[in-house]
Amino acid sequence: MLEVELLRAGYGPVEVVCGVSLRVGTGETVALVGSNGAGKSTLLRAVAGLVPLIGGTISFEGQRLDGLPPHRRLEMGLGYVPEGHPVFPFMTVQENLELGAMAPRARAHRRRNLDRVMELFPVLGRRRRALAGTLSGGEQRMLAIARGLVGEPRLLLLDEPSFGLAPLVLARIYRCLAEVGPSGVGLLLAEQHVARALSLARRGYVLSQGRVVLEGGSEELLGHPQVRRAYLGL
Amino acid sequence: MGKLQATLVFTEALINGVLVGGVYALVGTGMALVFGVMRFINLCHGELVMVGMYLGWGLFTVAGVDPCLSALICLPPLFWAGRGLYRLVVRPLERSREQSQVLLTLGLGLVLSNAALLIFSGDYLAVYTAYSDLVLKAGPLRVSVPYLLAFALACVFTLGVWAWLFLTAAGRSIRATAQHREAALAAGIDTGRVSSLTFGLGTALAGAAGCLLLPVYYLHPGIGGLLTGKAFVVVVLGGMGSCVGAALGGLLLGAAESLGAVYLSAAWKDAIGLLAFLLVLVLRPSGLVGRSRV
Repeated sequence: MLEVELLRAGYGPVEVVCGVSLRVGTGETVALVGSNGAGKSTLLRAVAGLVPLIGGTISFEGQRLDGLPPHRRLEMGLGYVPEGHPVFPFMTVQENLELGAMAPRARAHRRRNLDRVMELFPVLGRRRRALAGTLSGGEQRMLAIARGLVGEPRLLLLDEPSFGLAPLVLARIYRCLAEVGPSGVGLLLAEQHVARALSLARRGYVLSQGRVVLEGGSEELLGHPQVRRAYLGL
Repeated sequence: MGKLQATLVFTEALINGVLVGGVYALVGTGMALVFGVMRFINLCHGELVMVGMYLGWGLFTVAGVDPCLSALICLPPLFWAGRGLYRLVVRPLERSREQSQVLLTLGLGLVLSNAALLIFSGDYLAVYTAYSDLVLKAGPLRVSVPYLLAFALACVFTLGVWAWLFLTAAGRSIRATAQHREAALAAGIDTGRVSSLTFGLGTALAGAAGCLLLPVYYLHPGIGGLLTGKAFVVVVLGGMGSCVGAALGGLLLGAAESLGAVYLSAAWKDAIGLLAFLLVLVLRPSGLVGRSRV
């Protein structure tokens, strides 16, 4: 579904992603792991259309994405959830979700999609009238993911869903993500939390200094001596 | 000349200040919107107000149109002029450093004020309507009718913009972009269109405010810079990018200027506004309303 070919991207003269190729199949969950600064976020941002390419190509469902603005990519079914707490703090939870559901491709099924994410994240349903800025960090992360989902993506790019969260909250978010996969939505997960990400995904890529240094099935990567030493502390 | 007289002088100065402050609030709202959404410092906002003033003056002189009506008439053309300006010169520098934005908009301001000088010469112009000298008397208090009218209309415009921001889909995308640009991009909001709409809206509001200022200020090509200064003060007073803050900042600036003119010296009026500005910066550096945005 998503094919990235020799992608190079960065900020100004600084090249952060230096020739990465990767592939995500339809409905597949793929992990993109690596330490801080490896280029994971920049890669996702380039795929989402927030960072211009220096070189390489991105195609989605067989169509080239070069130069398409982010909202057009979303319209094709390529969703993106930025890192941190990307919510509209002075709007209610409901308004946040409605803005995510405004994309023309998802507008017809708005009600159903909203109900579904509130079922997936019951806390959002309970706090639908609260301002998003008053939610806890974990709840804001859930809201951002939920807002990505109500746009009816075919593939959702998730940037560090675990970052800065308490272990319990993190486990909850990952349980929800595990439910998203089987519904046919593909996930490309950028994570520093290597063990978590690889336990959810079937396949993964290890990124270091802007390059893919390892790729393979999750079990294989989790057992790889280099991964165990560098990321799992074993 | 006793205590009563003194209270009267104070109250009248305060009322007049608040009335003019209402129009300042409208001037500031446009600039605050543009800053809040685009993080773009528009230092030709006052010159855009001046454009509105010349439009209002022209409509009055040629066709006898009341400035209050001109404020409405000039909304659509200035909205589109603002969008054109955005497309032509603002967009290429939208994501660049503040210095470039400051130089660009200061330059634009120079072009506008010199164009006005070329077309209208440096003469001081004014609009005299049938109600220009009317005064409303409430007991011993006297309030100028044109000031009152300007204030009322400025309130209508300001509240109208708020309603539009909160009730329409386009308004919601504008607020979303101001609150979290990256999240707005991720939610599929066309932020380029939002920026263009916002700059158009800011320009239209500047123009409307210009028409409403006609009964208050003499019009001349140099007034833009003065008004940019006031708009900037209003925006910073309110907390950069907050519309509610801009409204409060406008009222405060108007009141400070008016009281200062009465108790210190009319010649110091514009300086007093800046002094109030410095005080707020020292005591509440994040502005009156703090960080809350559009």
